[in-house]
Amino acid sequence: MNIVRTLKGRFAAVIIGIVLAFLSLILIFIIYFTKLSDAISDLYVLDSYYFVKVLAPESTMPSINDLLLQSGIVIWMVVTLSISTSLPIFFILRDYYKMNSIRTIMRLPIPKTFYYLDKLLPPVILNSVLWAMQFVFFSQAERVYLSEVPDVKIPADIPVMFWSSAPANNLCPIESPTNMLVVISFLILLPAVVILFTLAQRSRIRGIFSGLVAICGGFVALSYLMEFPFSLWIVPAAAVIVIISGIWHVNRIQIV
Amino acid sequence: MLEMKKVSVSYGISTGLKEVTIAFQPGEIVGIFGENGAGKSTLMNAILGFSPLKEGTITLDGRKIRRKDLARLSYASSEHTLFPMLTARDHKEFFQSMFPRFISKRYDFLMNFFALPQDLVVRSMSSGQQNQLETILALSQGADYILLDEPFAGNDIFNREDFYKVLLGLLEPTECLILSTHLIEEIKHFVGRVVLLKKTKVIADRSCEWLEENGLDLVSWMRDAYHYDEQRVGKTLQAFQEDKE
Repeated sequence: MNIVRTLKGRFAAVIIGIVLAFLSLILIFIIYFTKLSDAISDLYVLDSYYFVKVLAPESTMPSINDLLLQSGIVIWMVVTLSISTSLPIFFILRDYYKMNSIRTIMRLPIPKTFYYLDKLLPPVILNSVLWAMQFVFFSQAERVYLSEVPDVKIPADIPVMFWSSAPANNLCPIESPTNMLVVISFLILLPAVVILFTLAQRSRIRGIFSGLVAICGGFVALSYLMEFPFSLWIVPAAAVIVIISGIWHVNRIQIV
Repeated sequence: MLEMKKVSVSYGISTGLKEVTIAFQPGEIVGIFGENGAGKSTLMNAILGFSPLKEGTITLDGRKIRRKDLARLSYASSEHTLFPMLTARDHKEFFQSMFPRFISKRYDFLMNFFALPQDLVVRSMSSGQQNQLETILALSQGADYILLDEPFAGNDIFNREDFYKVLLGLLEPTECLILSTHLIEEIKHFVGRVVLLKKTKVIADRSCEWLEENGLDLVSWMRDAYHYDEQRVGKTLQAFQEDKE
């Protein structure tokens, strides 16, 4: 069995996604670097006597977080995660519309959970790679900031504050391992919600329960993004519930 | 034995099947006939678990159909249910890996018979070729019950007629073929039993032997069973002419 050819579409989508995300991230890094350079040059004034640029005593350096927000990293993360999360919709609907291959898949004598995992894993892998990319981006942005900005102009709390304030703390809460678990759950929850909702929609009236679970899962994901005040443990709990519901749905509810 | 007992299927407010009780024995070739919307495809969908049952039970050798029993049922339809990115050869390998009783020789023989390309991806095949491949895979799966739902909708008459002749020589005595089609004339010498559906119900279930013993022709018997109005065409044309004048 040429499994590679069977999975080719998913592989291609993940690889293309990674390449496009990487290229756009490089563009964002260039924007960040340009803004950083501009901010650094604004720190200097021309000494009228010696005709050399010297640090202006009253000038202040914008914080790294401000520069990151201006560079568009948050928008990049939202856009790339949205596209990655939407991938399963395309793959599931392709099984129905392009060819009706869902009818072959569903009569195979194998656990239907494989079908669910086949749709869930590509966006989870892509989301994980995207997360790793933006983590590297934050690390490099911090390193460049600390090395390029004159020491006297570096805000005193930057090295301490960077990883513990927005946007870095939301996207990369590496300072708190518990919160990392929440982020991992969030990256899994997003595609799981989309898959469950798409399957529920295919099952029409029989998919009402799954649809409601998916909507609740979506609300939890949105609440996490909007930093609503609730226990962060609701995100991993929601991810587990939505995945279990998805597996239950493909096994128990008619999706053909 | 594949048995449906008082099976009802509904799609929202519309009925797909209503209290259908029917049994298929090994070795039978059964033709499922009926008008559009009579429930032929729904009957097959219900057996395969594609359509949820509102009422009734479907059993295979007395037990509810479980996941591993699915290998004993094969299916082909004109709806193109294969994988668009795979070639015929890939499909063969895939089916071999999924269905241990896959009959490779039968597959090769039928591929040669239809002269189908082995290395062309399915989406590049014509609609008729896709139907042929789907039927070949269903017949080669090694299933005990082979369900064919309008398998040759996109094929020419020569391919269809020759195929039925070849098929008679290929089937094992224990294999049960359940065939749904509108092309009654073409398969009337091929099927051994006829099930007639009308408005989601089984209205007749007769063996061809019974028809012969009673001196009945399949087509005329079906017309009687359906209460076919032979004056229908004449009446319509007459009404049309009167309206025109």
